[in-house]
Parts: sequence; C-alpha cells; structure tokens
Amino acid sequence: MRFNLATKILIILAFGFQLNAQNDSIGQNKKKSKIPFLFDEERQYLGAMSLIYQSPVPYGDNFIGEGFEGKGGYNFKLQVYVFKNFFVGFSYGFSHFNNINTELLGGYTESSVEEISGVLGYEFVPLPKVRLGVNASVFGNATLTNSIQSGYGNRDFGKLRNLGITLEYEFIKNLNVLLEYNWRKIKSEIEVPNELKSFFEEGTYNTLNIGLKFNFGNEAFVDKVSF
Amino acid sequence: MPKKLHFAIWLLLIAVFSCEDTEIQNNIRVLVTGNVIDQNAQPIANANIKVYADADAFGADRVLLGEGVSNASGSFNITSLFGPNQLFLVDISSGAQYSTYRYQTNTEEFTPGDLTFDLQTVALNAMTNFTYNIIRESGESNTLHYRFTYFDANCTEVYEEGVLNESLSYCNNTRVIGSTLDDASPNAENISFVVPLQSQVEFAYRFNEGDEISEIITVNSADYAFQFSY
Repeated sequence: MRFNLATKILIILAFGFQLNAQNDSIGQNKKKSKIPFLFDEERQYLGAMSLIYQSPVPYGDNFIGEGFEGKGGYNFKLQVYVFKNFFVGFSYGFSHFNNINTELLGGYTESSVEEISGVLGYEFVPLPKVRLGVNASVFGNATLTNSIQSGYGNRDFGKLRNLGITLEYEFIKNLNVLLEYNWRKIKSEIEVPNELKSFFEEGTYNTLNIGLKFNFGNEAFVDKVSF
Repeated sequence: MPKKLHFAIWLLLIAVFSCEDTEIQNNIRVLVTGNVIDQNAQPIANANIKVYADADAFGADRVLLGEGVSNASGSFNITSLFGPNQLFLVDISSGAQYSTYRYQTNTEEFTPGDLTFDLQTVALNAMTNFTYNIIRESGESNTLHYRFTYFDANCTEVYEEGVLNESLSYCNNTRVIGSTLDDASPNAENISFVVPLQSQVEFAYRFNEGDEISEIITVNSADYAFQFSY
C-alpha cells in the first residue's frame, strides 16, 4: 500500500492528536477533549454522505492548465468515522471542461473528467457546530472523456491525486452545509512525442465546492464494533 | 418472396454490416509539424492546418482530429488525436489566394515511431484567376478549336510507411480546358480558371482545318485577362 507524503503526514497527525487526547482524558470522565477542537463526542457520528457541486479551475503549464476552461461538476462522498473524527471514505465525481486550445490538445471541444478515489481525512471541531476538515485521496483514478463530433470521442486515463480542506456548519441536526477547496493533479498515461511529454504528463486544477453533508450514527466505527 | 428482393435484402445487410467507423485511439496524441512558404520561399503566416481521419468505408465519417495555424515564420506544431484508419490526412490551405496541399497516409499500416508527422517544408503557390475572351470577327462558318494547358498547383502527396509514393501522388499535374467555337457558339466570353501566379499557360488553337498554332502566356499579374479574336 503506497501513500504520498501528504497522506502519510495527515495520518500521523490525526493519530498523534487522538492518542494525545486519549492519554489526557484517562481517568477523567469527560465528554469533550481537553484540546476541544479535536473532537466533540456530542457530535460523534458513524459516517456521513456528501452531495457537492464543484467548480473546477484549471491552472499550471500543462494540458489542463493551458487547454481547459472549467464548466462545473458534481461529487459524491461517503465517509466512515473509524476512530473519533478520523475517517476513511470513497469519493466519486465529474468535472466538466471546455477545450479552449485545440492546437495544443487535439481536435476535441469538451472533456469530462470522471474522478474516483478512496479518501482519508480528519475533521476538527473548533466551535460546537463548525467542522474544519482535511482530506487526501488514495488510489485515485481519473478518466477524461473527450468529445470530438457527435458520436465520436476518445478517452485518456490517469492517476488522480487530491488534497482538500472543508469548512462545515451544522445548521440542522445531522445536516451540514459544506464549503470545500480541493487541489487535484492527474498523472496522465497519454502516449505523446518527446516534445510534448512534460506538457501532457500531468494536469492540475483546483475545485471550489459547495454542498450538503448528511451525518448518520452516533459513535465511531471502532466504538460500534468493540464489546 | 421474389428472388430479386431476397438478393437486395442480402446486399443491404452486407452493406450495413460491412460499415467501419473511423477510429480514434484512447490515450495517444501525435504531433504534426512543418513549415509553410510561398513560391518565393517567403513564410506564410496563419495558414490553416487541419488533421483528419477517415476509415474510408461505407458510412464512415471524416473526423477532424486536430487543427491550428502557422506562425509568423510559417512554422506549425499541431497536437492531434490519432487512430488506425485507411486515411490520415493533413490539409494545408491559406484562403483562396493560395494553392492547397494534402499529406495522406494509411495509419492502419503505419504509425511513426516518434509519433511525429514532420511535413518539413510545404510550398503553396499564390493563385490567380485567368479569364479569357475569344471573339469571332471573321464572319459566319468559321470554326476555332482551342485549348489552354496549365499547371494545377494543388498537391496531394501520398506516403506509404513514411515514404513518398509518387505514382499515387498528385502534384504539379497539368490540366486542360478547351472547346470548339462555331456558328452555334461563336464566342467564349468571361470564362475563368485558376492558375498559379507567375506560371505559364499554353494556348493552342486551330482555325478551321488549318495547322495547330500554340503560344505561351506568362501569368505575371493578378486577375489575368486574355483576349483573342479569330
């Protein structure tokens, strides 16, 4: 199992803070952490499901940054709180783009990126109804479906990397409104001449997201399965 | 069911199921590169370059895979989609005032190792209208047989596995236009064809049953007008 550096740091930080918080709370029958922003047991959930509209913003000196213009997209995320607010999950979505430079990319006019990945992350609770989360993708895949003419098209494949931060507000019990920023990189598998390798080997874009998150359950996964 | 109808249905089924779509391959791009100049070796900026694929089969579409224009120095680098098809075409043009060029190859049989189609230097000729008027002044019953022979500057080069096949190519060929003028149609007025600027046109004619006479016309100005009377 291979993780990128950011993912490793995230896991270490999340577990480190949790262990620290656990040690501090031994013998103290408290509902809240001594470091209150780490978690709030009154708002501990088993999992959550998010439905998100995303606005992709290409950048960088690469085929997405130079050739694409973002149109919009959607994302669905399912997450399970494994321990306290550390979660694992699954993310599936689409980002739609216009091809604004066919001379650089090829003769297609539109491209839809299908984004699939596992997700690891942690959510902090700085205020009672506010959550601040960080997440990273694992085993991400991206498929770019390029539309040429009616009935014609092709596909490009690549590995997806995603780092995201979220800000949530629980405006109704178990229902949060969510704002998210994601940095995404697609490491493409497109076969190209040597002159074009650096341009096509990866594509970068950001997404600005807004959505709703439905929480369910009232204890973390390890608490639910422990006897 | 009559035999003829049976046969027609079979033919239709064969035609339908023998359709082959133009194929665009996943996960690949090619580079189409070159340089466009005119007949005086001066660069042509903003020449249009279009890359097409065509399965060249019943029902197959010609699909635009890539397009772009040449820069101020006449050079171009077009990134294009790619697929194995009977026809892979690169069309170069620069409006009606220049001749056209086509690069043609079969990508079912050939993919360049470096994924680059280098067209090197492509020369487009400036073109102009050649308009002629032939008027009968010698009275009724006289006949004139005439023809103009000129260069067709539009060029198609056919490559097989990266090598030019001259016998399949069509470049710098001559074209002939002509007619017979007689009592039914004594004059030819304002008839035009397109020729390369600075090229030569041969005008050959025979008055009644006399010997054929020919003269060479150098097209040295735009919208060249040729007058002749017999």
